[in-house]
Amino acid sequence: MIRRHVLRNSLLPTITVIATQTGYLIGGLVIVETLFNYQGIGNLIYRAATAKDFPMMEAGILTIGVVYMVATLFADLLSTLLNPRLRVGAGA
Amino acid sequence: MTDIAAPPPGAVAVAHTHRSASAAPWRLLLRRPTFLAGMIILLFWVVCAIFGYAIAPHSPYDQQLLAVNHAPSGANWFGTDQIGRDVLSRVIVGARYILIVCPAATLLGTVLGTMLGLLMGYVGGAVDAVVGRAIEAVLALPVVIIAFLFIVAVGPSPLFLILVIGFIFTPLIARTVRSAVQVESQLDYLSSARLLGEKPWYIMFTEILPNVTPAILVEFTVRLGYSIFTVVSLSFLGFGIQPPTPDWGSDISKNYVGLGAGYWWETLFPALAIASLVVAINLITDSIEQVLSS
Repeated sequence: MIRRHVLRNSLLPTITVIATQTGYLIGGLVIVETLFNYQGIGNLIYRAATAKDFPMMEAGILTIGVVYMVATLFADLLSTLLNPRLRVGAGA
Repeated sequence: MTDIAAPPPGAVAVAHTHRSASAAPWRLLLRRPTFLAGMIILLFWVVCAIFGYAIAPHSPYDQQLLAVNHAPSGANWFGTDQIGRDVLSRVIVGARYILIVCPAATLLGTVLGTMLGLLMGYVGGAVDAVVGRAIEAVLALPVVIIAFLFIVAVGPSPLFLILVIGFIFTPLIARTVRSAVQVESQLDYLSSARLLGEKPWYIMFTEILPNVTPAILVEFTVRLGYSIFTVVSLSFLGFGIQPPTPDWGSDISKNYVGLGAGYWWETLFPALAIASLVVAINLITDSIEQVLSS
């Protein structure tokens, strides 16, 4: 019963928060990757920015934007799955 | 004659209740230990920011090349850094930069965000839809990344940092203000103001604004905490104030390589300063929020 009814409803706000925190997370990524000299997208953007490598920067930021978009889309889909009241249109 | 000169009893009562209602939240706040604790820490840093050079035991720029990387001792309470500068003095003077940039940036963001939020929430319709989509687009990118892109394009300077962080916080604050305004718009006093034929600008700034001020105040303190974090992150990455001016973020980034060699005091004390300032602001935010919601 707990898994079916409680978990379902208590997950909803959690999912939204996780999705919106993705952006904040990537901001932290830049710091952490620079700090530990870790080869990731954060470090890539940071080095592109300091070297004024604009195409590289654009690509990195576009990638982050897409990741964020997919994360929020996924969250929206999950919350409609968990909460039938949000469904609209033919499927409702 | 005396009847006219004497104030009507009703007016006295109204004025009295109004005054006590506006004074009460302050008294409630001062009774809260969380608020007092936050205020004490904040005031300590404010004093450091204003009188930094006078309080600091050494000059934050003086290099004692014979006393490099010295551990905390009686002469240098927080030790000395790679080039023999007193860490305590640098921490004290470093408060100035943060406490100028962060409140100024947050204030700019709050003023712009409030105006935008009032407009979106009250006018609604197409304005709300267009500005709302633009805000979502800005929110898709991390604050730190947007800020450093702008600073890379123009070059680091405190004034520009204030402008950039202010503009980045504008959409975030506008979104909060908008939802507060939308709640207010459904209340009766606004319908009566509209029926009286008041101008939209008058309704927005004299009818709605005072009623959403508590929400804006809370949002301001929350954003102030975030702005400290953002400014420190940026100066850690080298986009803040330029060395040798003392600054917590850039001091950490200059000295964290020494952590491996055991020179922990060069990184720990600026980091503790940042942490204590953010904790102080969060304590103040929490107590304001609790007082306003009780």
